[in-house]
Amino acid sequence: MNMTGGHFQRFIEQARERRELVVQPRMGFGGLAPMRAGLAAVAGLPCATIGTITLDSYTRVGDYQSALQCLNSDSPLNGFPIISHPLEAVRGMLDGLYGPSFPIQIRHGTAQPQNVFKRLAALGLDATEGGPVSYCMPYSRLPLARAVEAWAESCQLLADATAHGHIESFGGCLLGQLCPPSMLVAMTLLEALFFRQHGIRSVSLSYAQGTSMAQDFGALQALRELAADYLDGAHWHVVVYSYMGVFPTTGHGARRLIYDSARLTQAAGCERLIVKTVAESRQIPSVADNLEALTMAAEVAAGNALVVDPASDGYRQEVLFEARQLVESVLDLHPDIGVALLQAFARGRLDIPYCLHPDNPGRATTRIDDHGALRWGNVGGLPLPQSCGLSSIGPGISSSELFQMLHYTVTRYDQPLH
Amino acid sequence: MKGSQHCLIATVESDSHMWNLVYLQLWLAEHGFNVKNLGSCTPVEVVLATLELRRTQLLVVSSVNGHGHFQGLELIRQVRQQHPDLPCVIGGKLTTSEDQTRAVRQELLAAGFNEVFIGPDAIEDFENYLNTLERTKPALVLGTGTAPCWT
Ligand code: B12
Repeated sequence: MNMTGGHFQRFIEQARERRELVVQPRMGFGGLAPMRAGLAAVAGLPCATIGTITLDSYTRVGDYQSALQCLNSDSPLNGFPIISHPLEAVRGMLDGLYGPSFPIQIRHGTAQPQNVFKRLAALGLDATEGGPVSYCMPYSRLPLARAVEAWAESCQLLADATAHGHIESFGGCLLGQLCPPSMLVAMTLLEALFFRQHGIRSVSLSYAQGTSMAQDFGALQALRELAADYLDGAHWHVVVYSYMGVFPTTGHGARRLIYDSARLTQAAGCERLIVKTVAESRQIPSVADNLEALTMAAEVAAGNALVVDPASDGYRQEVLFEARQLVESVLDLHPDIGVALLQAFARGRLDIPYCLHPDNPGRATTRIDDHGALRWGNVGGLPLPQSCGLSSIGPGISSSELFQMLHYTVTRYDQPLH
Repeated sequence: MKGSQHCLIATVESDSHMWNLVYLQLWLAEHGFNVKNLGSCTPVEVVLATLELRRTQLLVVSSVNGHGHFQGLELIRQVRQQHPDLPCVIGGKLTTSEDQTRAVRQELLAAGFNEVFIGPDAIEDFENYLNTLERTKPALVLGTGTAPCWT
């Protein structure tokens, strides 16, 4: 066993040896006491859990003042303001919780994360999440060039602070829904290569559950094959996200969707799952919501394996082809991956469907096909054959068509049980 | 007034969610508006500057990340200093819980929003509100106005 990593990496490796899925919430509260209580409750679960501190969105955009005002006026925050709380207070919050048996990851959605990384280093934490594209395009209006610079600097900061820094790319999520899997797979690989170019030795690749189990299984197989090729020699593992788009509103719908994400992750041999909760469609989940969802996911993963749909191999081949095509066409542009990413967006070789960020080309679109799989509607300027798209010149999308696609999963899972 | 009415879509500065903005853009264009969508994490100054530059008959603020109440108050106070009569509405998931969002509705209205649209009927209520606005309906609603054409 490789025992050279930090808490985060070692925990994943040990669970992998036991063939146990690691489950992790997306949890963050404004105050120190609720944040500690949430972490402690997750640490106390009998399954293999990693703790999460999700930052609030004032901190994400660098507005530490508003976060402080909310703390002082008892206004609720949508996450933990790690910079607005005094450093010593955050140390105290982590004291006795964080350690080899309970690693903690900071999840933050910050395009310019230097201050967050400095905090992380000062607290002795070793794991975080993001990427120059995936924490810029979906999370800010900052020019991509500035996010690339900021992320290069931040990786270096973490690499200098600890030999064991781990970064998970959020490239497998992007806008959370309606993105063909090949783009998610390509983006997470490119960001992992970017991290490596800037001194990070331990990375995770991400993938968000989509609209078809067969397609998702195929895509995860493709992702693992490509990761083995491109990241040879580095520590890597794959993290799956329970569905990141519009969530079912019924208890049974939400639970079945979380259940499926756990079966998928386990069947595809992936190491970690970020678990959503039944509160997702409505509001910030409570600690109890999180505990229920984590427990269910761990139980499902320990149970009977998913019977793999034979159609998944076609999807595997398709994602392998498209993702490799996207990755190669970006890497061809420049040896510095940050520069290559910028040029790729400028030329339309990368394009995130429906993303409003000013640096996104905005030509590529997505459709859901008759089998429930995510497909390119229009491939725009992507380096893919026109035949990968369903409608290279079609009519514009209407609000009700978009609404239907956004609610495809809700409609399926909220159906009454027979 | 001739031609279609101009509408501005914005969110609050900490909110990066954009599916709500994309959806509202398409929906408002289909309802005959000439729409400008300022995109996610809209700074207050960008909203004010756009209102100066561009004839606008309706400001639509959409936020779902839970900070729409706190930052929406700030936004409307500044907008009202310059534009006391402009129809301004806000909607979405405005705090971090459904109960709280219902509780802050009145405060947002008092601060200057003409309407606050929350909960499952938000879009239907918004449609009814639009019908109460004094509007010259365009003769024909063609396609999606100035919305980019996602084909
Ligand atoms: C997709 C998604 C994301 C994507 C967004 C990608 C992007 N850039 O757009 C990602 C993964 C990046 C993301 C990030 C975050 N998210 Co988010 N996200 C969602 C999710 C799953 C779906 C949202 C969606 O696509 N909706 C589709 C659109 C069409 O629907 P809608 O937004 O609800 O809007 C409808 C109505 O609300 C209404 N409406 C909205 N605005 C207006 C305005 C007017 C005038 C009117 C009339 C109507 C109206 O009409 C719309 C059409 O029906 C929701 C949960 C859910 N709904 O299932 C959480 C959710 C919105 N996110 C949430 C949060 C907190 C965050 C984060 C802060 C991370 C975190 N702590 O969990 C970050 C935010 C970063 C930031 N700076 O803001 C919370 C908000 C909590 C709350 N308000 O109580 C939610 C509810 C999840 C949860 N339960 O915790 N998210």
